[in-house]
Amino acid sequence: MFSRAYRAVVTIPPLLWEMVFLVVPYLLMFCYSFWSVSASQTIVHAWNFDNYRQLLTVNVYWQTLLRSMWIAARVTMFSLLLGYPLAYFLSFHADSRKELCYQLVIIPLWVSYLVRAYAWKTILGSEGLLNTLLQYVHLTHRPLDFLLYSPFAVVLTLTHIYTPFTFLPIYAALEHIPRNLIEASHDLGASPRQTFWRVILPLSIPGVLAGATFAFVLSLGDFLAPALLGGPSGIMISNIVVSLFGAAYNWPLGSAISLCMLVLVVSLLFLSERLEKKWSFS
Amino acid sequence: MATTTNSVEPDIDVKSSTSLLSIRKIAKTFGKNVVLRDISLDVAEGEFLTILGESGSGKTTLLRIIAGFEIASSGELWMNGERLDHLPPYRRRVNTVFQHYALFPHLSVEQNVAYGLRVEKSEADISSRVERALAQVKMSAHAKAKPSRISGGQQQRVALARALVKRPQLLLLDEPLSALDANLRRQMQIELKSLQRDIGISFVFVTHDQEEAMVMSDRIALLRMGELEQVASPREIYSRPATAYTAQFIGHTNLLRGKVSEGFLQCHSLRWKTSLADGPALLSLRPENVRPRGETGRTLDSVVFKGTISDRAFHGATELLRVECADGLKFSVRTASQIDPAGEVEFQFDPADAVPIRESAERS
Repeated sequence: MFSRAYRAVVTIPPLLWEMVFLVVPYLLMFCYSFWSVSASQTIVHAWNFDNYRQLLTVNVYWQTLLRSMWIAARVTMFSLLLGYPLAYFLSFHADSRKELCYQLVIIPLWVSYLVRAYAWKTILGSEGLLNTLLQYVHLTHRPLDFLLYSPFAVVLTLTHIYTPFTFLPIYAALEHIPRNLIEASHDLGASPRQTFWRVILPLSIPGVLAGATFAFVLSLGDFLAPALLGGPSGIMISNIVVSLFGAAYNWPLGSAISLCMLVLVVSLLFLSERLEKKWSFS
Repeated sequence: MATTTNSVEPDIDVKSSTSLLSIRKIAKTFGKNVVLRDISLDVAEGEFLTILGESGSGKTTLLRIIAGFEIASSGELWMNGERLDHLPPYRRRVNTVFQHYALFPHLSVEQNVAYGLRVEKSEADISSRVERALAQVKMSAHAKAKPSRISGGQQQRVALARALVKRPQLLLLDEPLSALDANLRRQMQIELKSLQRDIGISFVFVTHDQEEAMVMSDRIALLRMGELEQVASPREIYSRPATAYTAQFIGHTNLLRGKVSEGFLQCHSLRWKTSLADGPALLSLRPENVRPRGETGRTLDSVVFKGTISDRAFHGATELLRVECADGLKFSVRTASQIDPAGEVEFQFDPADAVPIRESAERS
């Protein structure tokens, strides 16, 4: 069918890309995770499971991993609670303002993530906007210190940043619901509330699953928000990996943790795809 | 009551007749676009009424106003002597069969049919009613299937069962057969009609297919650019079309333009006796009413003309001929007999079959 030259041109770039950016790095990481660091700070190519053992037994590692998952779960929940009504409003009630509203949700994505995280720092700090305002109206007398450098700040920032990511697939799913199904539901005597629970929600489940997966996976591996706003109590697993690869110079342990994260994320993606398939009808 | 003329009560005839649904001066505009203009129409109990019209005639909008999916810009709807247009669609005792069926894809056939009963608070005998409804449309065997697994015709039946299980007083059907292929469509026309006769509820059926309208309806309401052109039984609308548009839209016709003076109508070189008043006249003559000479004996007052056959289309039982006369007059002739197409052929028609009609009003 196609000439050899054509096939080569089409297939070699992606193959190369996958080799350089996926296969080789992950293979290296896989190997590193079974090596160790000697007392003289050199990497010893002696194959063992020590790194994985450490991950499971040293408190700070598995606790941080659990905390990261808990933060990601809360971010997921809040972005669904914000993203779903937003998507619902846009899809069903924005009428002629639909395009404008849609752009308003999307525009923040064009602003650097770092800038948005910094913005929260200036809002939540002890001299920040929120504390100043609260004291100005005499609701508080001292700056509230749980606002910044806490898991709260991380969850808040990540929710703000990832809500558009949950919004988008939910919005797409709602837009895909044929409007005559909603009319049919009303026609058969279902009130708008019944129609939502019996028709709209079930048919938007694939979008909800995709959105939830985005929010959970992206916030689970987040590094910036906890680094900038998390403080000691709000650090997440990525911060540990960063320090292991940096100052601590323990690439083997860093690789082991990264690999566990990878397995976790890939299984989640796989599971979510299976569920989405189960809930899609066409 | 008799003394007040501007009361909100419907006119007397609405309440006293067996009219189920009464459409009073319904109008609908979308922005500057006038879709419906002062539509008034009554649907009798147990009647099969077809709203017939081309695309853009407003027929679907009218149906959607009855169902409650659109709000009329002005006018009123009454059902059983109660105001209908103030109710949301889910409070109207009206059900709809949608053009593309609109079955819930996440529910099985059975659950689709049960849907309208489940959302009511009364949960009694749902399963037996669903069973009966499915049996009525011969879909019991597919009760557990998902809508995507059954054919278009079967989806159509399920949509029908889903609406009928609610026991509506009025069933609205929005071009329900348009997605089916010709054979299945004809079969469904017959089934639908006999089902309607059996259960005895009123059907308001929307279609753009005049043949379908003729086959199924008790009455046809012909809609043209947002206004009713004519409302009559199929037989009457066919044999006594009121306007040129009706005559041309419902079946084929020959439009004859002539002039009446002193009891005679002159149309090109043809001339026959008429009782019409003097002045210009427009007549509709169905192609099957023009016969080749010799097919039937000549009656005393039949009009005879000669013409050459310029075109012919075979339709199985009949053949449609295009006949051109020397004076420029052109006729469509539908005949079951074999005609030798060569040379001039003589045709004749009975002047009584040339029905006077009005010019259709110019509309934009």
